[in-house]
Amino acid sequence: MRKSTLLWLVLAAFCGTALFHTSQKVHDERNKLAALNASIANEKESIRVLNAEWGYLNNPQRLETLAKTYLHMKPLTGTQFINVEDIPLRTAAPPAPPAPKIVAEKPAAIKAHPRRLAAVERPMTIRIRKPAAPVYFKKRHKQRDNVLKSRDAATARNFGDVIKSLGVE
Amino acid sequence: MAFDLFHGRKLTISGTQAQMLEQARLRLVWVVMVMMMGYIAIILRMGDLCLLHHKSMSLPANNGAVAANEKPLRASIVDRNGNLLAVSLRMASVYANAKMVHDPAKLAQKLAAILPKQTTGELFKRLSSGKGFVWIQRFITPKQEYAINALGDPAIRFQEEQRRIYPDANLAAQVVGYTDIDSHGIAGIEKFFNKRLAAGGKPLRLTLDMRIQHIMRQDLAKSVKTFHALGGAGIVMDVTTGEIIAMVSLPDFDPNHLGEATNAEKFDRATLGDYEMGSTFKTFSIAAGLDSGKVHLYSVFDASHPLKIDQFTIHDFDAKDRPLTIPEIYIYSSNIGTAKMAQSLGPDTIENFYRTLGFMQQVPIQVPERAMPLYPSPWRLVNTLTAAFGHGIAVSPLHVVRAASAIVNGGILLKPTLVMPDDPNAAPEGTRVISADTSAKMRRMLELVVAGGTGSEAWVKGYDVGGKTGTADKNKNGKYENHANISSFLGVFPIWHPRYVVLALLDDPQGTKATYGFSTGGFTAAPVVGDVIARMGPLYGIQPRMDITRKRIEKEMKPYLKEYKEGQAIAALSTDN
Repeated sequence: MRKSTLLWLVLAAFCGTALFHTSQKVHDERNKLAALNASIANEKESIRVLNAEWGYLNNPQRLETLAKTYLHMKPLTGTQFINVEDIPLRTAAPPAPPAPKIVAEKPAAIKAHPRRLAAVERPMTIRIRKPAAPVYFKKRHKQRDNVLKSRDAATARNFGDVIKSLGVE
Repeated sequence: MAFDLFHGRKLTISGTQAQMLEQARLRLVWVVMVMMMGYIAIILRMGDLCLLHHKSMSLPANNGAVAANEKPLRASIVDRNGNLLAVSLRMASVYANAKMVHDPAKLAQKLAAILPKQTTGELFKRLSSGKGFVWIQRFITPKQEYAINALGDPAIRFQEEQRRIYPDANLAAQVVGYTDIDSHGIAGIEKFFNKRLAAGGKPLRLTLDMRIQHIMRQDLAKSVKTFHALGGAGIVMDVTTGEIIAMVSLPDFDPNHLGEATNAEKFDRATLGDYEMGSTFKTFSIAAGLDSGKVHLYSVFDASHPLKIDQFTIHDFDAKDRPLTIPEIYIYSSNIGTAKMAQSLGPDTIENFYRTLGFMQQVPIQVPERAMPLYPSPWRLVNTLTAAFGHGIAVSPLHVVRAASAIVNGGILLKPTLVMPDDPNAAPEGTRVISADTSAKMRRMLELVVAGGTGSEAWVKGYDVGGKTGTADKNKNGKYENHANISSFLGVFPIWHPRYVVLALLDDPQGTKATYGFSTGGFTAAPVVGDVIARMGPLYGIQPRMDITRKRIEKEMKPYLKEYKEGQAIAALSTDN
């Protein structure tokens, strides 16, 4: 066998392997792409469902009921508007208050009582109590957390209920 | 020639044999060349595909697989702020091949346990029918799908379908419309834009504002309930663009439960109902008079005696028994005065003007439910006189709103629209129907009606509202019913720079103690309009005007009011007709 024949054979084998490898890779990539496309479609579908739920939750009638129940706010009326010009703006610095009038002269120095002076001179000891260790109501915290959790669960409605309320079983 | 065929033994061929070999070699070369050319062609094409055309070729191959087995979801419908009004979701439907069912009774029992809407008997009937395709149930939940799948019966199959969902239920039921179970639009926007929606893609953006729609629906429903009316209609339209901001018809229905809706609920009173509007029409006949130049604000018509024409007699409900100026005719709502004014214009003026305003054809609007107005044909003199005060001609509330927009916006009649234009800066196209000057005069009179006339219930502190009440005896099969009214109020605000026309109409309202038994537009419909404006103004950031007071308006119009005393106009409230 000639050297060149061998070379060609090797080359052919290499090409064959490379081709097989590439085609397998393409096959894999295609599968991956299909899976990605499917998951995109899935995501889009869930976005639609969530949007529908958002629309349902944003029903003006529902929002109004919620606002009435939980917020202490009232609808705005036309009489609550004022013009910007009507707002009194702060002008320059406020005028300085007039200087105090002197009605009496400085009183003469008063001599201190001798007993008071003695009190100042005698040092006093003050006992400082050691602060008590803080008490943590761990149990209560936990209880409160549980209450909050259950409240969250009560307010969060899943979309299944929404669909059900629309009459789809 | 030397061939190494026999393991090193040399062989020489010559003579004829050599010639033959040479020929064979040549043939071989030809074959190889042809094959080579073939290969070269393939290599070139491969290079072409890989390097030059790889993008355009690869796309359909990849996406085709996904797109082929899925019908596009019907496009959503959203309001002007992007809030969902209708959306399609994928849901599974379950069906069976009845030929493959072995034990229909057992299967029916199992299915009925999973699907609470179905009964065993009904399912058994279907499963034992022997048909190749029977629906078990359309649209089931994922849980039910899982449970049915777990039965493992080969006769049961699933099909993915889309279902239309209306998150806001009743809110804009008639306008948005609805689809059948196969998602084909059969009413409203859903029908009008069926092709566009079925193709999927971008949501269809309407001009409706869910918030205003809600306000209008709530206020109208309150009034319908208070006055025990059969129903009502309410419209808010932007007079500068023709956009419909809200359109309500009561009673309404939940399009998610279409089976429970009655025909009366599905009926869109706002676009499909024809009503004689009564005095509201004086707005149009007086505008025709002022615009013709034959009548002026200070023109006087004698309303002291009923007007006889042919066998008809035209009365005033609250006769002033004296000559009245045009603004007086308008605020006291004098039928005699209006009829006499119409008479003075000549026979064709009113008819032609009504035609220009679109009262003799359907309103061009993007729903299939459009009313054809009812008007007299042939149009005789008596028709001119009655039509001038809104009798003998019936149009839909949308007709009135559209025409009123033209009266107040400076005189341009616009096409009302329910769909946001693609280009928000494009100027709307319209036809001039009256002069800007006539429009300004009409606005002053509309303002006066609310400031001190029959429409004072629509007065909103801080907002300059104008309007006109209308009450007409209900016409049933050609006969007027004495105790049944169509009561309406046409409101405009802000009247100094009109932006919105608000119309409320009540079908057969009954008076209550609070209204002294009256069921006229001023008592029943005007408060609805006032309430809508009071809530809508701040929402849209419209600047209130505290300098507008009733007294000032009355003073300004005083030159045109002959025997006008302050507050006197309010006395006319109960006598609106």
